[in-house]
Amino acid sequence: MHFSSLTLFSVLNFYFLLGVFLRTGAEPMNIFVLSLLCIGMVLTLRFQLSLKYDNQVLFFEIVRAIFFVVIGAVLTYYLIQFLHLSAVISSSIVGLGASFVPSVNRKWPFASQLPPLMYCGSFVGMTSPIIANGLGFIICSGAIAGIFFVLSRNMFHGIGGKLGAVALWAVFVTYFLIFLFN
Amino acid sequence: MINSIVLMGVAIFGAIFTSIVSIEWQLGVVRASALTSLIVALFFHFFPSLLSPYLTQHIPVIYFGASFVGMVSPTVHPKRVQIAISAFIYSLIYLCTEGVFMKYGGRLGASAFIAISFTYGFQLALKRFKFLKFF
Repeated sequence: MHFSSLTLFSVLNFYFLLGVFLRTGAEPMNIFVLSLLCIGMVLTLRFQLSLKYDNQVLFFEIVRAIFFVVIGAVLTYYLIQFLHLSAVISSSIVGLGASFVPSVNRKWPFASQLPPLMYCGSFVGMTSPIIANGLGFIICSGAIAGIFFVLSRNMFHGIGGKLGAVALWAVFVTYFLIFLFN
Repeated sequence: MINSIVLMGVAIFGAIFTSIVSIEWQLGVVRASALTSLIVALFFHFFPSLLSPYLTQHIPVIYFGASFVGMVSPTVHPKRVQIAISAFIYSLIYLCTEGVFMKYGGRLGASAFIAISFTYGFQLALKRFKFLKFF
């Protein structure tokens, strides 16, 4: 599962870079920069493959992750669409609020996991209605992001931006699924 | 050109400041990123005419993404100069990807992730090939 999860996440990351390349054009500087980025990512992925760890995933862990990521996504979507706050302000409010939960409620054994889960969900909720087209998309993306969060919990430790990358991968997959079935 | 330099400076400052708030002030990565980003975003929300419309629009956004770079663990980037390099790479990605996946949630985080992966990947390679340290 470790190798297949890593492969999936790598494909989605390279899809992002491919999109950048197609948009910015085949100028020498772009090719050079994107090549360096790809090489750097490959080196990091190679390092991740060499790591050995227990990748056992519990069903309850996935359900909990999906629940809190979806809450973060829906709250952020609500703040943007109905209170007309900017995406950055909405996501920051949700993240900041979630960050105080472990301090307020120390009895929950998983309280420390709640801030990153809801912050990840807030990035999903930042998706524009042009892409999201309704709360259903946000909930679906949030659920997939929760699954990806659990699958990647032992990967890319300490690398900033991982929560946002997980959110983007989930949005890509949801968009692709809608494209397939619609 | 000047706008790009300002945005790069904001990105580098944002990443380093978030790292300081998170580690030295011990607020934690999520709170540091969210709090500092909220302050910057609210500042430009209430004072929109302080800078040009382009900078007013982009500074909160690039800062937000740079704060994700600042969320990097000290085991990955133990030195501030490494965070600054990652933030600089992130700002390049941000400026190059204007208009690409603009409406997708998580785009900023993915850009920060790729920037840190780039710097970290080369760090790991340099450690392996110790003779390169002489260059």
